[in-house]
This record gives sequence, C-alpha cells and structure tokens, in this order.
Amino acid sequence: MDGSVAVRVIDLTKYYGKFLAVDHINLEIYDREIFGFLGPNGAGKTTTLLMLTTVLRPSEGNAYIYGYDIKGHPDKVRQFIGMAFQDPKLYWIHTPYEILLWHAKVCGYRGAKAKEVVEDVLKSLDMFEARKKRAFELSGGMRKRVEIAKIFIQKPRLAIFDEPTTQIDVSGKHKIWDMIKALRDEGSTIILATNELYEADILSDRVAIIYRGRIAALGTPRELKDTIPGGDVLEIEFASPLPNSVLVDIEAFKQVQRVVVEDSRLEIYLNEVEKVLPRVVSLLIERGVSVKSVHMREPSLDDVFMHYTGARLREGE
Amino acid sequence: MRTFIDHLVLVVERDLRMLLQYKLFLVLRWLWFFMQVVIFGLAISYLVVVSDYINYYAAGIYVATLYSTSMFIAFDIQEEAEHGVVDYLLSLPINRRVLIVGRAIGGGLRSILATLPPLIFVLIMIGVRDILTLLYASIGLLLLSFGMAGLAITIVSVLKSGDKVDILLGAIDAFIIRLSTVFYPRAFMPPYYSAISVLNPLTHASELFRWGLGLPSEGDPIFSLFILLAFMLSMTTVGILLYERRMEGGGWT
Repeated sequence: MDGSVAVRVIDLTKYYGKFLAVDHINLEIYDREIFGFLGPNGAGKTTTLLMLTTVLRPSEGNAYIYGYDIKGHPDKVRQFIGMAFQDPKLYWIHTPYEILLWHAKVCGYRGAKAKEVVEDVLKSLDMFEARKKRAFELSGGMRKRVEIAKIFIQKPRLAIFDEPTTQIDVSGKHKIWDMIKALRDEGSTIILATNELYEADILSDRVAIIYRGRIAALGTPRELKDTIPGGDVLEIEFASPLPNSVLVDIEAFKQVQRVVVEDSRLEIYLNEVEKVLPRVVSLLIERGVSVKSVHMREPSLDDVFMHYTGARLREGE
Repeated sequence: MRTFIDHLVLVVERDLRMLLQYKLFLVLRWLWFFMQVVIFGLAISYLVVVSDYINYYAAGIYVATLYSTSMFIAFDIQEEAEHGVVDYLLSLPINRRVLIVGRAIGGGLRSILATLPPLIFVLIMIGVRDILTLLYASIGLLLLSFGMAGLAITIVSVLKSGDKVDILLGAIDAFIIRLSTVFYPRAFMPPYYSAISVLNPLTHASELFRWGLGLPSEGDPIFSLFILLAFMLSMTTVGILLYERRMEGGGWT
C-alpha cells in the first residue's frame, strides 16, 4: 500500500425501482491495499462492485478508478479491472480450459503463453484434472475456482473478488487467500467483498462495514475493534492477594473502561490491549502480586458489526 | 494490449466455437432440411403449377434455414444471460460496440457454416451455372445472416426474458417466412401480401439466391443486395444502440 488512491467513490447510489440498494457511499481505496467490504447478504456489496466494474450504472454519484470515472470512461475503467463474481459466470457447455483460455486471450495473452498461464493457474487451484469437464459437470466449489482463476490469469491492476471462498473447502480457502495476497504483492489493488468475518479479518488491510446500503464503519480491523469501548478483555489469574492500590492504578489507564475482580481473577475491559498488557503485568509484578496466568481476548469483527449496526453479521439481521 | 480488431476476432471466435457444441442439433437440422426437400418439396412439386418447383422450393427453404439458424444466437444470448455470462462479458476490457458487432458477425458467420451442408446439397441438386453470380448472391446471404443475428441480439437485449423471446421469435417466424417468397412467388400472393413481401429481407435473399443459381427470379439483384445491406446495417446499428442503452451500465437484470 503506497498511499496513492486507486479508487475514489463519491456519493455512489443505486436504486432498483424504488428500492435503495446503495446509499450515497463515499470512500477511497489505496493502491496495492486489500480492501474488504464486510456485510450480510443484501447489504449492497455486490451492487457496489457491479457499479465499479461498469456492469451497472449508478443512479447517483460516481467513482474514479485510477483517475477514470465509471460513467464517462467505462472502456478505460475496464482496462484496469477484473472481477470474480459471487456466482460463477460460466456457460454450461464450456469447459474450464476453454473458458480460461478465451479469458486469457481477451486479457492480452497470445498463443503458447496463453495456454501456459491457463495451465499454471489451473494447477495452482487444483483444477488441472477437471479442465476438460463441462461447466455443468463441475461441483459448486470447482465452478467457483474457475471463476476465481480468471483473475489470477488476468492479474488486473484492480482485482475484485465477490465472496471468493464460498463453497470452497478449508484447504482451498487458505490457498486462495495466499494467492490473493500474492496478487497484491505483485502490484494489484484488491477489493474483497465477503460476509465471512475471518476472511475479512486476516486478509484486509482496511475494512468497510456495509449495512443496508451504507458504510457503517471503515478502518483497519484493529482500528475498528478498538472503536468498541472496552472491547478487549484482559483476564489475569493471581495467586496472592491483590492490593486495592493496584486496582486504582489499573483503572487510571486511559484505555481501561472497567475492572472486575472475582475471587482470584481480574477482568479488565479496555481498548488497545497490546499497549496496556505489558504495563499492567509490570505493575502487578512491581507490587508483588503473583500472577498465575494471563489471557487476552479481542473483539471480533462480528462484535464491531454489532456495535455499528445493532445486528449480528452471522445472522444477517 | 489487445486492439479492437483482436477483440472483435476473439468475440467472433467465441461464437463460432459455440457452434461446435451443438453437433447433434446441427445434424438433426440438416436431416430435417434433407427430408423437407426430398419428401415434402418433391411431393408438393407435383401439386403446384410452377414449373421446376422443387428447385424453387429448395433454394427458398435454404434461405429459411439460414434465417432461423441466424436467429438462434438469441437463444444462446438468452441462456448466457440466465447463467450470468452477460454480466461477465460486460465486465471485460472489451469495448461494448466491439462486443455487439462481434456477436452479430459471429452469429452470422456461424449460421453460414452451420448451413453449409444444406447449401452444398442445394448447389449439387440445382447446379452452378455462373460462379460470379453465385458469389454475388452469396454476399446477399451473408448480409441476411448478419442482419438477422443483429435483429436477434436486439430482441433479446430489449426483452431480457426467455419466455418473451420465445414467443416473439415464434411470431416473427410465422410472419416473416409466410410473407416472403421463400415458398411461393409474389405472383401467387394476394396484392396486400405481395406488397408487404417486397419489404421482407427473406424475399430479397430468396430471389437473389435463385438468381445466383440461375433460376427464374422476381427481383432485381442490385436492388435486393441494397435492401439486404440496408437491413444488415440498420439491424446492427439498432442492436448496438439498444444493447448499449440497455446493457451499458444497465446490467442484464
């Protein structure tokens, strides 16, 4: 991530009839970052991505992809973009090899090089054996891999993945996450729409929480978690009595929201736990408190989602 | 970086390759054509007063087959839309005009290829009297198939519904073939049918093809070619405009 802006979204809005699917979204995505859109189904993620890809025309607002606006210069915009759709876009009679070879040619590969790059990506995604099956013969996971393979062949400057690992098994998910990171390292900016908390957390440099067509929060996963007052929990078990003065000193840290003592256990609700933890442990040791164990618990992005929307992402409500 | 021409060739190639997926469909279509000529055409030729009607019929039904094969691209696009492939195509770094022109050309070319065995059958059956007139007539057939593919793309882009496309294509088929000289000369039509048939591209393609084969023809070859050229240009242009309006930033659904 070098700080220059790859995507600038200004008041982007989409109505389907009277239904407001995307409601005046504003954001910037930096070059070479992995930017996550986290939200439940129907939140407006896919509609936003389809507008950025110029497949859908915005009802209001605009977006600029590497300086070109999606309304005025859709052809230019599409030169930068590759999108792996949520539902694989495969015509049932075509084989993965045919689909990807044609895609490779459209994206500028020629002759033997096109075949080589297609075969390499098929092998990377454990699809080589299935390359000559027709799309309708493939499992959901395999179809999804073909859809994603298009982007790893294309290596676009702006790669858009819409729920890239749904229907994919666990080992496949890890492989795809590694390939997405590698794509970013090779110079692509990544937009990742997902409703999987773990995926958004481990992959994204920054995350926009999108709910009912609006951006509810935006920041790094760490920043978002830190915005929940007392979201981190530090649990300390001790073997010797705890002086009251220690509690007073702990409560004096500005990051600490609440302290609860239960028998030989101390629960500290705070933010920025990684900064406070060493100071609390030093304090306890200095005051002669015998510490048996320390356990740290961070809020999840689901907690963040709950905090900003009042709904649980897992339930989509 | 690919050029417009590269992309056009790739779009055309994609539609031509699609043809290879329909081997059984093609064989059945050819079989239907042969049966139609050697059984129905022959039988009906004994009933009608037009001399050499079997040859008249064979040339006409080839044009009808070319027409319906050209329109078949509508079903491909419709099915692609149902599989979400249209959104994929719209997201590619291909100019949208190149995409539609490529599909019209691809749809037209593949119709010629798909109807090659019936064409050869007709040429063998009737014989080739002058290769130049036949080549001239073949340009008309190409224009017809490009124009029909453009019309099919226009219809499917506007309707965006498989059921509606089926109904409309069925209705067009019923009128466009019957109000043409595919099966009978204009001299045998009621005056109002005859007047309408002059505007019908199938009439001009049929008459041009018959002229190219050295059969009696009711039309002027230059005028017919001009009509077919105008039909192709207008259908492709309307197709581009509607496709852009309905698809550019409008998606399929």
